Amino acid sequence: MIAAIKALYNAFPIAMLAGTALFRITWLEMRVNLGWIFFALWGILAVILGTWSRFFVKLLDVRGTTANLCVCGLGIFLLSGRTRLFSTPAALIREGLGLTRLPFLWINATIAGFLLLGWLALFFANRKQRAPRN
Amino acid sequence: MKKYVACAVVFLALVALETFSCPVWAARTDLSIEVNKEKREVIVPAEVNGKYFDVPTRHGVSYVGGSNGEKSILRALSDEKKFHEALVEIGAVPGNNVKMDDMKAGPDSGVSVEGSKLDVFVTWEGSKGEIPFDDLIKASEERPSDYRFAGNLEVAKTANAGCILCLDSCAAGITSNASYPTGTTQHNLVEFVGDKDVLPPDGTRVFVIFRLAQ
Repeated sequence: MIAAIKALYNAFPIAMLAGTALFRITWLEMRVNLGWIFFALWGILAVILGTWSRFFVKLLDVRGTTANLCVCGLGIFLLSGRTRLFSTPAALIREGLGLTRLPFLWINATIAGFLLLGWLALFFANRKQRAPRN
Repeated sequence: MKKYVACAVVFLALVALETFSCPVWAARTDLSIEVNKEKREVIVPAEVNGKYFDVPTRHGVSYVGGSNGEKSILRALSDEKKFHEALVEIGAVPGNNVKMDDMKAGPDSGVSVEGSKLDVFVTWEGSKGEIPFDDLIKASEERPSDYRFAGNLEVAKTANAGCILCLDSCAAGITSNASYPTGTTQHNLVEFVGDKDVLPPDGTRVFVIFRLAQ
């Protein structure tokens, strides 16, 4: 269960980074629903990380997850810039879900909540695993 | 610990399901177009798509049910084929001069759409009257607008792209801006974005008025 959550959590920023990079290609953005690509990438990456988790032990532990978040976050910031930071990821999710009236603010709040709660869950799960058993 | 995490995941999944399955978040696709023969105008209901406040696009208004529905600055809530019908009803004549091959034009060999000239305005709750469509668009190279009833009904029927107003001349859009010939956006000669200083916030319901020019 924890391994699946770790895989799902870590796949999210990587898929978002890839989605943001694709979003910058105007030709592609005008022709393809990049939201579907983002969700497909997220799913595929989660399955890869979850299935072969023993090869990604360092990425899936707390340090690796934190580094993954920071690197992908920085990448998304550099790719989208300050003005698009709060619209590009939200637009990808909104378009992928086909729920075009969802406000960007709500989606951004959900992303922030998912990232924060997910990190805390992984942190405490990791601490529990490491705690000596009496 | 596993129990708590599992509970949290199930809870979040239920919240997400409840939020995302709610139809209120999906744009309506069935609103009717208002036709006023006396004023010779057609009014299309639409919504602002905040995505294109910063990202360039060539689509000004597209029907949300078409493949380009989410690729335009304003997502129309009425079908583009019905829009074509409505323009014919008010006496507009389609140009039908731009073919799909013209879309492959080089940077200097583009073709401009023909057809009846239209004045395009947008209104919304709280807007200061009818705002010219041009004022809502920021172009990297500004030119005086020349909106035309391009026609293209057959392409609209086969492609189902939903294009109601293209920002440069196009073989698929029912209307286009003839000031920018085909190839303008294809070759990145000009970029268009929505002007967030003029447009209302993302998701706001607006009404696009197409009026036959005198």
